[in-house]
Amino acid sequence: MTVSNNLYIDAVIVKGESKTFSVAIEQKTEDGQGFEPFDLSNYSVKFKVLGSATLDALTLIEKDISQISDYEVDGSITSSTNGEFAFTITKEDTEKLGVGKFPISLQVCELDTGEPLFTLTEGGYNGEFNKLQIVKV
Amino acid sequence: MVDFRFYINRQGPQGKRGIKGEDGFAPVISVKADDATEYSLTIQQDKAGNIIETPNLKANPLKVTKGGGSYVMYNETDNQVYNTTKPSELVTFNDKASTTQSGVVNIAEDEDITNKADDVVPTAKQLGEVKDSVTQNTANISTMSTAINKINKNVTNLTQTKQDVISDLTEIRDGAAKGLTALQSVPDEYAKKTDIPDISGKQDKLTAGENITISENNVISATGGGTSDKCVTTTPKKQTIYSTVNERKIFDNYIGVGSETSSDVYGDIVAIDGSKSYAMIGYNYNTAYLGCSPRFDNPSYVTIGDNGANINIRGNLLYRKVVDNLIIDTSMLDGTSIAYDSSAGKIAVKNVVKSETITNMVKITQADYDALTTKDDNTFYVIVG
Repeated sequence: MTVSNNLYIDAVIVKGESKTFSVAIEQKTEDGQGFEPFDLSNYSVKFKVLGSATLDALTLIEKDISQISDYEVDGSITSSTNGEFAFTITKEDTEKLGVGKFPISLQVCELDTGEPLFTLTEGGYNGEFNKLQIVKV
Repeated sequence: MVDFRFYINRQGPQGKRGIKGEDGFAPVISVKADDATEYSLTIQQDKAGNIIETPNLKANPLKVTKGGGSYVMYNETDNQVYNTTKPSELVTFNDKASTTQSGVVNIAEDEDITNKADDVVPTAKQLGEVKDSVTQNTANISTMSTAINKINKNVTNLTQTKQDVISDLTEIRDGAAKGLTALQSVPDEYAKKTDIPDISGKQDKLTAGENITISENNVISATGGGTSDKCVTTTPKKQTIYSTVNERKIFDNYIGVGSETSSDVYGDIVAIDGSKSYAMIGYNYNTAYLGCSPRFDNPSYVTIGDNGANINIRGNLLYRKVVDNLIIDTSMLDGTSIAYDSSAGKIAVKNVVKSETITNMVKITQADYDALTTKDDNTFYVIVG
């Protein structure tokens, strides 16, 4: 599973503010000629803010995003058939994390069990990783 | 429009060319041995010259040492295989078992059992059938033995009681002749003892008494009377009746009340032949009657008492009106047929068979009685004969 080599989440948010970021997932079509939305109907998404970009990193914030989760607090799956969801960083989250860059992780999980199936936010070969940057202004 | 987009399973960029690897090693295989009994190989497995040798890849045929015969025998001693003649202890399917030789036995057929073949064996089923037959035969023998014992006993009895000379042959013949004509079974027209009702309490054949007749049809009649239900079965007795009023008395042969000097003659009221009309016992002797007998079909009067008070005598003299000062000399009553019942204060005719419901008496045999389809409840049936 790979992502675009030029595409990494670099979400910026001002400390003390709340912000929601939208994401869409697409998969290759059967003929392999194009991409189509990944149906999230039977899945949920686990969002984590990590202490470091390592496998054993400490999880600073964790949110479970589904069709019924609180959009204002955690985010939710906004269009399951189109593979679209949103994750929310609240004001409290920014204050908890403080200013800085924090690696994030997005995992697609099985809806019933919550078991992670695959990770969207794999790191790049040049060390790129998906991150959340909290700034003062 | 979304902030971020992920593509799953998208081909990634081509990686850098890797460094060239070392040349590989191709193993060198050579044949080590190749003959009728062996084929093996030698394989060089690395550049250093290390080799491995395969075992004999050719199937090793059985080496049989010639010994003569078409049988193969393994000798543990020298670990060799020999061909040999048939060992004595070897049994084949062609060898039939006998009393002296081991071999194969066949299942017996029925004819084998009949013929008592000695090279077959019976099945359990056949043995079971024989067992059943023996059991049945044993039972039959036991039965026959019992019968024979009985016969022996009878013969013994016969021999013990036989006569040297049969002296009663005539009687035997007569008895046999009678036996031919004797009833072999109870005919339908005969009654069994159990069918005959108990008549122990019944009377013997009736004998007609005075003024009583019994017809051939066993109909009992009383003369001088009317219907039998009002018949007096006893012979009326003359009696002396006294009246305390006028001291009248009844003269012999008649009953009359009056002075002795009266010329009135009164009839004998006990004459039942109807030859006299009626008797009058009373003071009023102005009316002369020449004796009478009460006729039971024509109520007549025996007047006893003053002024011709009437006493109706009907039937068995039981019906009576009020008698005025009638004194009865009970000593005149014979006590047998007519007696005075002091407790009841009346004269009663004894030994009278009476019934309020019996209106007829019939003498009849049991068979005729049984043959009656309708038995009259008002008839007294006297079973005779």
